[in-house]
Formats: sequence, structure tokens, C-alpha cells
Amino acid sequence: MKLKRIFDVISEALVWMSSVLLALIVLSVALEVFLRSVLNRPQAWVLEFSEYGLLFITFLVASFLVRTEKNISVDIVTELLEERTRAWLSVVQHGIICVVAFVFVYFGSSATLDLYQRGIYNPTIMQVPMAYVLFIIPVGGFFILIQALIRLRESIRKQREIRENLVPEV
Amino acid sequence: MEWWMILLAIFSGLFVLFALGVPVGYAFLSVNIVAVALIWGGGPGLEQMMLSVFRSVTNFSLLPLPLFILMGELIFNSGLGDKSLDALDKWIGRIPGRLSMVAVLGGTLNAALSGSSMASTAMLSSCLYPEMKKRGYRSEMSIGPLLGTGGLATMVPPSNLGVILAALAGISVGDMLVAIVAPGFLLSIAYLVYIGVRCYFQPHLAPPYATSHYSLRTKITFSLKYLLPLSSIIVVVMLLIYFGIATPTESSVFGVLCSFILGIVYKGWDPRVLRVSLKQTVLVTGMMFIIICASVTFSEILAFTGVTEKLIQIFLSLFSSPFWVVVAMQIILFLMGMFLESLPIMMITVPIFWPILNSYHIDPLWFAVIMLLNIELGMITPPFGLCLFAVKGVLPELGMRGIYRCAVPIVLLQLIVLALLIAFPAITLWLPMSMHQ
Repeated sequence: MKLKRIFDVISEALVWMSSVLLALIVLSVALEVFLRSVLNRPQAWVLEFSEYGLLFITFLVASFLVRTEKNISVDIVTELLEERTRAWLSVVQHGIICVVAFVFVYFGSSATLDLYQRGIYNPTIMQVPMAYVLFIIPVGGFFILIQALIRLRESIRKQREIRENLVPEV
Repeated sequence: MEWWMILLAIFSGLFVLFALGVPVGYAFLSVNIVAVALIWGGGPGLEQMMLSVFRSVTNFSLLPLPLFILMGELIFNSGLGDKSLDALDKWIGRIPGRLSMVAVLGGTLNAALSGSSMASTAMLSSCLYPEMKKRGYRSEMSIGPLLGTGGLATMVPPSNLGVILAALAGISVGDMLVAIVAPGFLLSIAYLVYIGVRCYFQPHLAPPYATSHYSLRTKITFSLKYLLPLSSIIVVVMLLIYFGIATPTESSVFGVLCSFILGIVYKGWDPRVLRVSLKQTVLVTGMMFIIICASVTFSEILAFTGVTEKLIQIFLSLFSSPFWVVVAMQIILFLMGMFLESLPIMMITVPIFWPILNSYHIDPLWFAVIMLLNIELGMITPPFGLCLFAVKGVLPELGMRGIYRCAVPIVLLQLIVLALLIAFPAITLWLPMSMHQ
């Protein structure tokens, strides 16, 4: 339970990090407009920084969204089902998220490592090493995986409880 | 493996995952993972997929999206949105269908702030329906217009879905936002005319009632204080884009800064407003972007397996006229809109439809606008339109059959507007064309 609490706090912290990142994007674009239009000094890094910011925001908040089950889903079918079936489906849903998150962690890490070893740069003005940006996919994927595993465990427990409650006493 | 078997496998896989309640983004990603592993082989293909995730999200066209969301959140959390609605309410006197008209005008205003049809419908339903019921409004004049506000949310700029569709389809975001202005207002006017005419001939649907009398001075003061600053932000953001003074990203940052300053002016410095707005924005952005993560790989799979090419060939053999292609695509979108959310529909159809549109030399901007309206139309179309369930969720005492009945006139109105947009592309294209001139 203590470990779960730690990861819950981490997911909250990641959301705040992405909030700060968003604020930085707003300020940097505002600064760029000012420098370009008033001082005639355009800043090429702003565009790239903001684009990378979008990837970071996506992966930083992803674990919180899994934890709070706020991801967009089509629930017209599941809402019609009884609680027992819904609990079973919750196991399936979190199982699938675990698989996707594992792919993010495993193949995201190997892609990042490969880009790092080969010294690949993004062919843009800033020429940022791709590995320095792509690493957020396995990192974010790791926290998604942890939250999905926690939710999967809870779903299995809930499903078991429902099943036990349904068994008539002898 | 035959192309149609691949197509069938991809789409049945997606729909099964949707039906199981798997979050849309993860459903797309898992289908991508399986397809990539089978088609391109495990390791290298999946590593390539990680680069596609990177390319899908680090897209400059998507940048205005979180900024427009933040702008709306700042205005909403500072309470300015409610006050503006109140100021608007003061102008509408004792006329038939007064509250229905407030719903439409409020929906237009709210659309510019929220950009989400379900959120807009749910919010206005919870705010206005109790008052409508108290005043003896029949459900045709209460639920109907409230459902209609959902469609406005995506058709009034700055529209979140408009930005996403432009980014997915490779259209200029500025063009897209300018192109939806006229259709959005046409829809809004169509609702107002419908309410006015219907309430004039059937006054029992929305009985007129005595409203509080406000002096002209009060009305002007409220409008200058609340309505003018808010509408000015939205108008200036759009004008900056229209005159090419700023890119959509830059003008959205302008909107954010103005909303932030307005919030301080009206509510004083409250760090909670900023904190909550930022948090809410990154969460909504994350929800949408985890779906967009799958977009590049999904189109690559469809193109690589020959599905896109075969579908183009089928369309070319079936339809010689671009008109019927557009009609066929609209029917497909309409049917999908009855079961799915807007974002998955865009993700599925854009990689298939856009190469076909190019083959027929159909204007992608014009098509994107009618596609946007059509997807929203699906959201209020019985039996599964998602906005219908949003109303049911907020007002559980209403029966689904009653909600369906109220939706029919609004669906017909949207169909008329859709037909007008198809018949007269100039309605959509004159503003973007004049912008480029």
C-alpha cells in the first residue's frame, strides 16, 4: 500500500511538472513574439522546444490518467452491463494498457539507446540529439505500466470479491 | 494476406476493443502494435513505431490546441464565462422561447471557450433545464436547443476538434479556424430562427414569462464589463489569424495572456485559478494526445498494406462524380458518429479519406468543415449519439425516448445546414479565400 501511495504521489508530481512545462511554453512563445516583432530577433528554438513540450506533456500526464481512469473511452456498451461483467472487463482493459505500456518501456528504451549510440540528431535548427527527447516515452511508459498494474490488481481483487459474494452459502 | 482481410482485422479489432471499454488511445496503440509486429517484424518495427509516436505528437499544428484549452479554462475558472452568460441573458427580454434562445447564444459563447460538445451540452443542460422546466417549457423547446449547442461547440472557433482535424489532415490550422466561422454562425442562426418561428406559431411550447426589467444603462454596463472583454479576446484572436499578423499558436498565446489578465482584473490574483486551469489543460491535452500518438503509425499501416490504394481504386470505380464521393463519405461519417466519439472517427477516416479526396481533386478544407459538422451531427443522432447520453447523465429523470424525440428537429436543422454547405462551398470557403487575397 505504501508503494502504491508513493506512485500516486509521483503521478501527481508528473502532472504538476507538465503544468509548469505548459506555462513555460506559453511564456516562451510570448517572449518569441516580443523579441521578433519589437527587437527583430526571432528565436528559432521556441518552436522546437514547444513541439517537444507536447510530447513530454502527453507522457507525463499519462500515468495520472490511467490511475484516475480519465482516458477517453467508448462506454455505451459497458454501461449496459452488470457489475460483475464490468469488473471482468476492467481486468481486460488494464491488461491491455499494461501490454501497451510495456511496449513503450521496452522498445522505447531500445530505440532511445540506439539513437544515443548512433548519435542521431533531429535535423532541425536546434539539432537536439533525438535520444534526449525520445527518452520520455520509456520513462512515461514505466509510470503508465506501474499504474496499470496497480489498477489491474485492484480489478482482479474486485472481480474476485464479486464472484465470492455471488456464491451461495452452503 | 489480402488487403480486405487486413482492413477487416484492423477495424474489427478496433471496434471490439472500443466495445470492451478499452481507452480509445490504447485501443489504437494495441492494434498498431499487433499490426506492426505482424507486418514489419517484432523489434525493428516496434522501435520504428516509437519514432512514429514522436512524429505524431511533436507537430507544430497541434500546438494551439492546449493553448486554446488553457484560454477557455482561465476564463471559466475566473467566473467570467458565467458573468458573460448573465450579461447576455439581460438583453433578451420577454420574447417567445426566451430561455431556448439563451441556450443557443450561451452555447455559441461557451463553444468559443470549451470546444467540447459533450461538455458544452452537459454544462448548459444542468444550468438552464431546471429554469426551463419551472417556466413550463415543453421538452421540444428545452432539450432540443440544449442538444443543438453540442454541435455549435466544434463549429465556433477556436474549435479544439477543428485544430486536431487540421493537424491530422495536414491543413493549415489558421485556414480551418477561419473556415468554420461562417458555418458555425449559420448553424447558430438556424437554431434561433427555428426557435423563434416554432414558438411564434406554437406558444404553448415555451410560454412567455415576465422577466426582470433592466434599464438600458444596466444592460450596457454589464455588457461593457463582462461580455465585451470576453468576446473581444475571441474576436482579436481570430482577427490576428485572419490578417496573418500572428500564427494560430501565437494568437492563442495572446488569448491565454489576455484571459489571464482579465481573470486577475475580475477576480483578483488567485493562484488557484492558474493552478487548476493549467492542471485541467494538461489533463485534457493528455487525453487527446495519447490518441493522436497512434495516428502516424495507423496511417502508415493502412498505406503500407495497400488498404488505402485499394479503397481509392474502389471509390474511383464506383463513383465518377466527386459529388457522390462526398455524399458517400458523409453517410459513412454520419453512421460512425452515431456510435463513436469525434476523435476516433477522425483517426480512422482521415488516412483513408484524404488520399481519395486528392484523387478527385476535392478541396480538403471544404471537406474538413463539412466533416466536422457531420461528426457532431452523429453525436446528437439517436440511438447512440453521445450528447444524448450527456443530457441523460445530467438530467436522469428524462426518458431516452423523450430525448430522442427532441433531437429529431435539431438533427434535421443540422442536415439542412450540412446540405447548404455541400451545395454552396462558398459559404465555407469565402472567408479563407478572402484571407489569402
